[in-house]
Amino acid sequence: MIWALALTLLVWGGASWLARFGRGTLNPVLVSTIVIGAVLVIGRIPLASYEEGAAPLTAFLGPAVVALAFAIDRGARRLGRRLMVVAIAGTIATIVGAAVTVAVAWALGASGELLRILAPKHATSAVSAAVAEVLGVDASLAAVFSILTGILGAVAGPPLLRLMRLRDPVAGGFAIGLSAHAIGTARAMEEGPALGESSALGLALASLLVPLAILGASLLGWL
Amino acid sequence: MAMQGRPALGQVPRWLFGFGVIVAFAALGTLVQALTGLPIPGATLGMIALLLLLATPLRGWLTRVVAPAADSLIAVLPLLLVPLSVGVIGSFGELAEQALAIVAALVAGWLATFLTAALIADRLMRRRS
Repeated sequence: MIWALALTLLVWGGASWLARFGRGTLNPVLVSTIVIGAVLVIGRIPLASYEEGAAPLTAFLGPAVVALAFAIDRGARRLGRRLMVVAIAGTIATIVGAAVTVAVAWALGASGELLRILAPKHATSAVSAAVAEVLGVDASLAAVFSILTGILGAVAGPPLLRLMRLRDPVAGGFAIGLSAHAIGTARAMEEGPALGESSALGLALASLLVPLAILGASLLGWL
Repeated sequence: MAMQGRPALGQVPRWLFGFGVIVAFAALGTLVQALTGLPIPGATLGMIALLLLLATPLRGWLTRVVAPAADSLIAVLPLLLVPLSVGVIGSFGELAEQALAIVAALVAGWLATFLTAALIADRLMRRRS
């Protein structure tokens, strides 16, 4: 089963190298997914046996979320009193984002189960999958929605920021990390350390705020 | 922290120990989640616990010993997501059924989160400075 690990690492290495030429459009997670997916389909390899072999990578998702505590801590030290600003903006944006996501899906006739799978998508996959598990809905689909959101944010975020002409680089990086988590943050880091660090703070805050928002919503009986 | 030429003894054991501390926090969070049934992922609980410890005098020790492993983990986070992402090909059927609602919700939700976060943070920062 170790071939799945080798395949993932090798394809990832190639996709990361390729990403340097795409100016953000050749997202390494997206490219790796397409290449590995193609290999599985062409080779008629069952998805389950790939997932079993790649499980060592997935096992480190939880620890990676724990590690984000350092990103919050560092961001807090650097921002000082402005951390309050970021926390307020993050809390409002997390609630607005989840509400808009659920409202749009509901208006277009999505099932109640699908709404619960979509709700935590602004947290990184490890968190959204765990939230979905707690809500009793499909965790792998929740992870997929997070990843699609991340790819969307990584590709569309930086151009949109240039269009908006924000005066504060911290606000822009933070918005990318909060809305597009790890995949968006990897992209923001390519743009520069200032954007990358504030994006890491956004990513970390989202993995804290999204479960809390969902907890609040479920306590109020909305989900 | 740059290692020049010869590998510095103690770097690797320290990294591994720090890594062990992080995994232990994740395990602890998972255990607490399982015991209490809180609707918050175990990993997030572990992160909150570590964050609380970072506010104590242990911060210096944690930054020295645990932060290097934490930085490595954050750096490879997108790679760790690839196996989950490949799982999409197993859910194509379910996705196709409600494709319009899903795509619209993904795009609108992302735009709402992104724009709200960017605009509020930018406005508030300007007022402060």
